[in-house]
Amino acid sequence: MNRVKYVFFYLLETILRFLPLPQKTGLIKIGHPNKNSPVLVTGNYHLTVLKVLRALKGQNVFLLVANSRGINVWCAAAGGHFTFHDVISALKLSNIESLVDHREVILPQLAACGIEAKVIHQRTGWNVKWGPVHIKDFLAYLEIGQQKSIDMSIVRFPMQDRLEMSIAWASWMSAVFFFVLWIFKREAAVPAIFVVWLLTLFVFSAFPVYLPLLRPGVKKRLIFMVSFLFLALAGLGIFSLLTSHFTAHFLLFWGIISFITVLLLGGDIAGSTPFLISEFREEKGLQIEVDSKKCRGDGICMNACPLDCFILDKQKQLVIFERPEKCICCGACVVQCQFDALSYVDYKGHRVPPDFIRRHKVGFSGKWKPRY
Amino acid sequence: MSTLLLMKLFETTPNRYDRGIRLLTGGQLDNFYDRVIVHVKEGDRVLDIGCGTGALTLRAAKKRAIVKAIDINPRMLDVARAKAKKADFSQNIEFVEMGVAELGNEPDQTYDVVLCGLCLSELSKKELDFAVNEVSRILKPKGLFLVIDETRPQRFLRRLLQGFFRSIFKLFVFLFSGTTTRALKNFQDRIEKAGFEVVSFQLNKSQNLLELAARKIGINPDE
Repeated sequence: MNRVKYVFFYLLETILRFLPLPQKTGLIKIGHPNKNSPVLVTGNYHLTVLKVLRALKGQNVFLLVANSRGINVWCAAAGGHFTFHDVISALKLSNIESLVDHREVILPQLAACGIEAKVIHQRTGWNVKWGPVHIKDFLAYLEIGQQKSIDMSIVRFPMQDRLEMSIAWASWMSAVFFFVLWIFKREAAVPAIFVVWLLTLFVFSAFPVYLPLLRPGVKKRLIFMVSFLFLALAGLGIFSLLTSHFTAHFLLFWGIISFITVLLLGGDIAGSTPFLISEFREEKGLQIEVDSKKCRGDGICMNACPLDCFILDKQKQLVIFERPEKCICCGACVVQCQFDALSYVDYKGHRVPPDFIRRHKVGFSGKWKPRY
Repeated sequence: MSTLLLMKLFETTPNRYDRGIRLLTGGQLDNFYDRVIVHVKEGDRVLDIGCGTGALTLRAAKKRAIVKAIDINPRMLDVARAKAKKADFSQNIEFVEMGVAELGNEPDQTYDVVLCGLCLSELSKKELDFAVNEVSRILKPKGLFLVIDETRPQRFLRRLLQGFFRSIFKLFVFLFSGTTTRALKNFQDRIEKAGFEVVSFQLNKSQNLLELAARKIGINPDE
């Protein structure tokens, strides 16, 4: 029965993925946790909690569901909807302090861009450990003594996630097409659903193929859109030849439908992936800068970075921003650095200080205006 | 005043919050604030929970009270700080970015007055219970708890009407900001259980905004 429930919510909430879907906050005991059991925190996005419960079946842990406004952990933390206040509230109001002897709480690594571990420690005495990015790695993480391998701290975009993303996009787009066409061209309403779904599934499943094109330095959106439009038209052509519908009107109409679909998807395909920076982010073009005078090489930034951008120079006890091309400016490293050694710098050398980034999180909402 | 829910939208742009709220309430809220603040006296130690852009904080500071103003939104606090500086009250106000969960760190019987404007409706049930109990603990004996917030109307028809409008706004606000508020329910009973005695209680015309002043008498009458 639980399985049926899970599948039902999984499908429903994948379709409604862009909407916040909150669940009750508070403490959940998984298995039979004791005074030494690990304490985990997650956000209160309904599907997240379901997934975490499923992944932790058979374990003995305390799960604290903190208020992330019904949004997934990463988006909520990056958008300032999931902050240290919510974690403190979960820790203080859940009675957890009397249930365990230790004071160590494991947070999802992707929350590092918005939740200041240092403040939680200062105000409550709890030590924050950044757990793995993907909940699937959590058992392995526990097995090796709550240590993270590099793989566990890197965000992935496997086929299942890509399918989920395409379902999320396709469902609302096909719904809009359906309603508009139902009014103006009723016979095309149902076929439009198929076209949109096929095209979206195709765009997201083919992601690894065109990923190299999306790296900086290429007119990526244009290439992306032209090639998919071309493929869509080719598909339509073959389809129409096979079904002997081959008319200019048919091709033009479905060509326009495909064009709109590709335009909506391709307008910000990078933003739909976890490891490319969205076209609409103000941080685009900013770079991380390490202040070597302040850096002590303790590697908190390496632990928080979901894209493995940093390496440690053990001799000099310094962190080096080795792979800037991978950086998506999520801000996790800047927010977490205890010594304020990291900041954003734009191409003219203007510096965005760490305090500003902690305050405004990702997406400065037009607050940060460099003075040229 | 179902429209108060819409304030959640303005919170995303704190600079425009004050103007937005005035627009939503037609200045009604300001009148409520002005009225409730008469309970604050010169030299009082005041705690403003969820101070936002400092509407109540500044009013209290103007009466020469010593105010600690807390909020979890650093950008709202920025606006409040700027306003305090402009009005030349900043020396009497301490702004701290903290939530109700940290009220546990405040010592017992510290404050003469605790203010709370449009904040309790944003808390979860657990947080609300915690907050009310903590306020009771940190207030001095006979200290005052002043609350202005959204409430559910008493009369059935009104409640139905409000429920209807509110659900529309709720959906709208939820879609845009992913947040919502919960209008207070039976708040009078609740704080009486926590050791308060209601001194004054007023509702607006549409019965959905409450203004309440409660005096701490302690759960134990000996206190």
